[in-house]
Amino acid sequence: MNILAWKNLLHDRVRLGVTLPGIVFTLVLIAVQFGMFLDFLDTSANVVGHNTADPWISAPGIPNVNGGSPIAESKRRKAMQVAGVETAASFTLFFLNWKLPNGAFQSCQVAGFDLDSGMGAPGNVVEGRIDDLRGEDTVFIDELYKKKLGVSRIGDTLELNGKRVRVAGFTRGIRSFTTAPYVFTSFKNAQTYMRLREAGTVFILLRTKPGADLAAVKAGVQAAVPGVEVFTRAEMLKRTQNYWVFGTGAGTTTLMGAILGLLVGIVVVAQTIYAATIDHLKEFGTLKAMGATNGQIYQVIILQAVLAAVMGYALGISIALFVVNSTANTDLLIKLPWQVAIGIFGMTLLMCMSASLLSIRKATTIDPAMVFRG
Amino acid sequence: MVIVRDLVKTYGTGANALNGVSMDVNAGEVLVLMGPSGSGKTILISISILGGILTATSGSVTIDGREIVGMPEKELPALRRDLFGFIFQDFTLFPALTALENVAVMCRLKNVPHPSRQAAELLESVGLGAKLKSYPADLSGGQKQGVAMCGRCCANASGDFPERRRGCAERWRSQDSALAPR
Repeated sequence: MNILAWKNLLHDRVRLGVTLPGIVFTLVLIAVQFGMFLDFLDTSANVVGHNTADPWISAPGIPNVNGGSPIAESKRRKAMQVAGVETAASFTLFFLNWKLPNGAFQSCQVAGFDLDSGMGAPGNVVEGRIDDLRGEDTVFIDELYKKKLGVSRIGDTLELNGKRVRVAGFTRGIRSFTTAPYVFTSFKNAQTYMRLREAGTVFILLRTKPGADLAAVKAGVQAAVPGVEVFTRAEMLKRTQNYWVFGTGAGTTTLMGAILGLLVGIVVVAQTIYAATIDHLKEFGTLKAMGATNGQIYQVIILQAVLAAVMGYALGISIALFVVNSTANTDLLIKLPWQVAIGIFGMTLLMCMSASLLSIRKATTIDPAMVFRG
Repeated sequence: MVIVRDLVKTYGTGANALNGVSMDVNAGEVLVLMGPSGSGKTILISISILGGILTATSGSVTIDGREIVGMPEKELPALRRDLFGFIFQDFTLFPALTALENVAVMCRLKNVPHPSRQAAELLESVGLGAKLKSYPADLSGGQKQGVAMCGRCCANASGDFPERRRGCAERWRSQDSALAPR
């Protein structure tokens, strides 16, 4: 009976030419929409997600990591005295204006980190050394934003918040979800650019001792350091993602796009598979008249759907991977982790099988007169 | 033997498709059912000959001593598979399958051993050995009829296979396959 499912699918090339593209483009749509959403989720809080510090200290009630306000740096010393804390380092993140060579301004996010602890340092440096940031007025930018920031090579000199800035190196793949690129510099330089009072910072990043209980350290710091709020890394990540994804139109739009992609996909696949099954209704009637059990008819219909799902997935995921790879070095990244790819496969199977099940009742309750009348 | 008594089929709308039909069909008997369009021929066949694909509102249908009106749904497919064979007006072959595959599918339904081999032997016995890999669209009306008949021979005849094959070939030659009782 399996051969009937297989050949039913392949024999009619026109029907196959309608069924497969329906599934393929549905999968590409879903993969791209969810890939964009996943990327948004990741980049909206990548300063936290790619930072090893845990927990974080900030001014109370900040809405997200990009919305910090200054706190006294002296609190760092108090935090250091809490049991379980191994290191405490200052870290700033602030929006400032970068002056382009043509005199226009470009907003950027300046991340100032402690060079000794390395907490908050950018990863994936492709030109220059992190230690070069010990020099006065030096910064790193991501190579994706060279053009946007009017930079062409190491040593280029521009202006940040009215002060001279010199590019000392480049990172790769550290993208910003806003229009403001990241600019990395030492905490000391950042204080100057941000015109913070000598003793000010925006965050204090902590590293716990091996084996220390994170919750206990967080509670201890909260009790020992007045006038601040302490977040675990996971809490800061979630707070930032929730703010950008659900608290702004941008995130909601991306999420809605992903959900709509899924709904449209389900409808397209359901219609396609349903139509493909109904096309063979008379044949199922013949099988039934010849003594096939409902189980045998279910088997043919479901196998037909599974084969369509597997073929559609193979083509669809290949196109989606091509799209994902082609955005790898652009401002817009689409993520397609293997777990999502497997999830999409499961969803494709489920969609195709559910759609075929809708038509099963029709196939198993077929009026035999239809077969008789030709 | 098929015995039909007082068979009634009423639709949900209240319209009667069959109104107390009775008939006997003996083994080996050739029976022709004639009547105007809409007189209930198909309904009668679907309830009785087709092994209960449609259910009767009332009455009795006994096939080889077994009452099929009211028989549980799960027992009906075996009845259709083991006792009946049909050749429809348009032969209802599977267009996606070759002649060989069309017959083999029916052999598989019957759980015949080596279905492909037996399907090939049946087709050869009716002179369609050269058409094993042809699709229905490439066959003439007579050839389609031959393929459909081989499928029913495989799926329904009892006794040993050479006998079945001979019977199939004979019916093919006499061109009465659509009416031949099994």
